[in-house]
Amino acid sequence: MAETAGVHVELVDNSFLKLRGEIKGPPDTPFDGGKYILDITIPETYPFNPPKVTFRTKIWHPNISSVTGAICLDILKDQWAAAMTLRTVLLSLQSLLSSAEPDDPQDAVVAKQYKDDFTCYKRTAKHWAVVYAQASACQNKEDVEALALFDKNIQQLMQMGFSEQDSRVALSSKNWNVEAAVECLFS
Amino acid sequence: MTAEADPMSHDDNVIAQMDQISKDIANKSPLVSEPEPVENLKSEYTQNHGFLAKIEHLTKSYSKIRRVRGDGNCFYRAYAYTLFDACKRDAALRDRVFKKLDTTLAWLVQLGMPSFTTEDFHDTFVETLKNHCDSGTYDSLMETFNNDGMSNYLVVYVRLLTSGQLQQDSDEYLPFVEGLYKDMKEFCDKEVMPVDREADHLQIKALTECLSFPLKLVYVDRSEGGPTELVIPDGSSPDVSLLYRPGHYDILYD
Repeated sequence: MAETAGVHVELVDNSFLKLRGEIKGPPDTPFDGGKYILDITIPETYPFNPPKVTFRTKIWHPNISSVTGAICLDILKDQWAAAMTLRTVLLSLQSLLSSAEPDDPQDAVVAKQYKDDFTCYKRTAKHWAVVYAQASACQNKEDVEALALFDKNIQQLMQMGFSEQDSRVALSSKNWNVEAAVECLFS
Repeated sequence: MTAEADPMSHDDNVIAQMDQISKDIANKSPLVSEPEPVENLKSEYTQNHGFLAKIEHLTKSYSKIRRVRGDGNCFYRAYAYTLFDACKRDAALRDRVFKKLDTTLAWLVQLGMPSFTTEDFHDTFVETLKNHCDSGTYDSLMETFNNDGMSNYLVVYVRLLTSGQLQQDSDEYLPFVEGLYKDMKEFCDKEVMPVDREADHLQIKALTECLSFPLKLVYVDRSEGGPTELVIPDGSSPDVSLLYRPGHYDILYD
């Protein structure tokens, strides 16, 4: 598939059953400029059953599991149509990044943050996007400062002996409150 | 530690359960069965006098029923099967249908269907129908319609045609679903194109209009009186009849 509209797919081996997709994070979202790799498995019953798609690149988004990369999207489930193409799927995922559906979440923690503290959600999503997807940094001064503080918080937990990844997940889940994150890591 | 966010999702459980139900149905019945006497239906309703009376009525006008698997595709599969069968026997119908089919690929792509896949379904449908009309037999037709992959390919194309007709004539159809779907495209994305989604009156009307191949629906349900017959579209004189029992379609023969 040619790379247009920032989506792309290639073979992983020569079986045609395992593919690797790539989508660019859409503009005006925390994912802007990020590069998201997707694992695509084509079932034997394709195209009468949907491809199985998961995010290989870690992402903080209400409809994508921050742990497994599993996706909650109707066309990958009961709204799949045999006439759809992988391009349709990738474009739909790209548009999912632009318009989250927090009321139909895959990751309940992220969805709750999205609804309760949207600014914190956006900054956390941006932090993950910069770290895992090489997304562009923020421009806004307040955001830049907030993200710098996130990095400091992670360093702080790492000095206590937690891994970077565990620290990031705990802090992200607890709105970057260090005490709450530590409590969560010890529990 | 991980975010406590990822239970095996409810959706996945539901899907697994649905898959199992589909497999159970698939193991029990062929996609398209050999015809059997309409009387056989009585054994399904021994406790239900409303139904029994209607089936008794049915046996006066129809002798045979050809069952179609209840997998959500039954209307589309039954319709495609009767179309193939009728085109083989009726040269005028065949010419009309091929003439129409020749225009449908460009038409569907223009309506926004993805050309790459639509072309594949279109070509398969046209080629299979042509082969059947040229050199097919009853046995080869049954083989085609009972081959999972092929049969489902044909179903997808009639779904695409249905979807095209509904979107082309959305002024006519939209009022029936207004408030439930924002436009006809959304209706088609949710209620026509998804694999295994059942057809309702709107889909039936659109498809019969698209191919100008009308049909008679014979309703059998719990209501009083004999079976209700409905000709679609209005005022046409169909050669084929489908039996409708709530949630399911089969083919009827005089």
